[in-house]
Amino acid sequence: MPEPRKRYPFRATPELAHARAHYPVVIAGAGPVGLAAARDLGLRGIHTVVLDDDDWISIGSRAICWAKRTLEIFDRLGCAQPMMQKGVIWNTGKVFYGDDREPVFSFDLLPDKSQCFPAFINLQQYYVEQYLVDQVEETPLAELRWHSRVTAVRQYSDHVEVAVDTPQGSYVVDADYLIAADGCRSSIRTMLGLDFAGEVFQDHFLIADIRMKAERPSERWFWFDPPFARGQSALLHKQPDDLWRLDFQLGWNIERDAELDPARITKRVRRMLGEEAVFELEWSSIYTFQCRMLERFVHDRVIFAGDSAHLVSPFGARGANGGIQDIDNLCWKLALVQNGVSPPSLLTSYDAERVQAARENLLHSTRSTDFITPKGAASRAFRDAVLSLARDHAFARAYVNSGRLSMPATLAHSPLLPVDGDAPAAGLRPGAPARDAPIRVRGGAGWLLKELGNRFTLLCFGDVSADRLAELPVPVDVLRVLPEGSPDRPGPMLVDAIGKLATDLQPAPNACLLFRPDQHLAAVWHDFDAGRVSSAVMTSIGR
Amino acid sequence: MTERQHAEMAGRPPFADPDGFYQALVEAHQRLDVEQCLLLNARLILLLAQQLGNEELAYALLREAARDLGPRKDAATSD
Repeated sequence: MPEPRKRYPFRATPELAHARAHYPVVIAGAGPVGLAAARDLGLRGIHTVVLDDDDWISIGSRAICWAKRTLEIFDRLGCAQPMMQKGVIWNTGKVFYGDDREPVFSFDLLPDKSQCFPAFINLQQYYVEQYLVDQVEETPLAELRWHSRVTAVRQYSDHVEVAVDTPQGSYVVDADYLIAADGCRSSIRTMLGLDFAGEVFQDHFLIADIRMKAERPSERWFWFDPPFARGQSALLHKQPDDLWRLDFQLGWNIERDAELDPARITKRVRRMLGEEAVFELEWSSIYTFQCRMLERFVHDRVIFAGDSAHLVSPFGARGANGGIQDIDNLCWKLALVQNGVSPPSLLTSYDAERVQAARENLLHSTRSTDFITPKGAASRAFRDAVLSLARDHAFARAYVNSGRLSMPATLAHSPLLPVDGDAPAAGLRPGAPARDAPIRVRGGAGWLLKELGNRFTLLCFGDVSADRLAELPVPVDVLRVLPEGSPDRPGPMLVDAIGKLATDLQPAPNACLLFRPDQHLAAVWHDFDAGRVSSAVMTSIGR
Repeated sequence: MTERQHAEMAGRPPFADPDGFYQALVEAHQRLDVEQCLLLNARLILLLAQQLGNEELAYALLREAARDLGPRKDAATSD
């Protein structure tokens, strides 16, 4: 039986007594994306109300693979620890082809072992949501309203009006901004009449989550044309609580009800795992998938994030992970706009940056899908050619596409990136997210990303004395990087304990690197120049 | 193809025994059904592309091969 899920009670709100209220930000949808937004904005001093039409967190088969960058963001929000404790850590993927019991090849998704977080953890979405709800409930500026369905949205020049339906009646709230995190079937998207353009793929997949005691490695296993499912593909993931995610390709012409018959699923699972396998079927469903996205995510005062803005196939784990990165990108900007530091036009950079990222995710997802579900004889021939060459020819393995797993976008073409930086060294390009590194800080072991936190940070190498940044509209933390063994100096600093920052960033002797509040690199300079740094900060906040 | 790419290819002498290689290509397909032929060609293309070692040229050759084929003649939706 599925674990009993916590139900959340409906609480009467002042609006039901006809006290009309105005909030800085209303969030529609208490999924991972909406909850993360409430937490992030709360940490930045912005009051939010989250509306969800349900009274409990999701059940069944939803997102399970949470990528390293997502975990880093969750860590910034303060909820990575329970996820790491509960989740199944994995870094390795294996691809099998045909009758061969040995993988055609394996890939390591975390070649850099000096990282705080693994390439992925597998964790049922209901756990992620529960941990996020716990965090949001401890966030004084965030208010969760269950059983509250958005029924209408009306935009004005200076606010947005949101009509809400509850078991005890309806009410209207006003907000400066509405974040539509209401999922793939977003009703707000429909209310605004927005075109959700894209492609539907003609294939069905069966999800079977089974409970089974088994000693198997924590790895992603993917089969093309295995003996237990000729001509199709299959995927296996380990989840916590002895739960295993099986994902079977079925093809386009199927009898849906027949395929969902538990006896038939059991037979299918036994063909895969062996007649002796002992398991319970916990959840099954059949899905088809689509690759779609909105042309723009910001529509005046309504901002789309997550599945409401972009939909991808599950191969590559780019759905929920992409959604959390939307929030990472949006919330610091929205907070600056709300606090009057930045003009509302700063939000157009959320559009530019996350539309580009979504296009990248969509492209990868579409290509994976074309490999997994070839559209016709010629594409199938190329797919099979790649797979049959992969064992003997290393070059062919590069073409094998069982899903290009989620990597954070480098916002290289963003209009928000300062243009007057120096040419970066081979290390990190402006627009890329910072790469974590073990450091020593305050006399103990630490990690770079924890020090970058959620504010602008200037990392300074060498003898730079960057104490002349005082008069900026946003705080900029200046952090001096010292090589191991150098004498202490006054002011905030960190020690490049294993020399990884020097290797990763290849900084000039007196280099300065400006990181944004979402930990993406804004600009690099070979020397400190207060004027250039200040103007880059101003560019980065849209002024 | 660029003029340079075209000139480079034209400047290379043909195989010493063009009839022999042509015959080998045809014979390799003769004992195969259509599906297997597609697979053979796909494998050959991937091997040749790798041996070429030049992405830009690979794209140019793909465009050259696809040139003047015109639209598909059947009305089916599968490729």
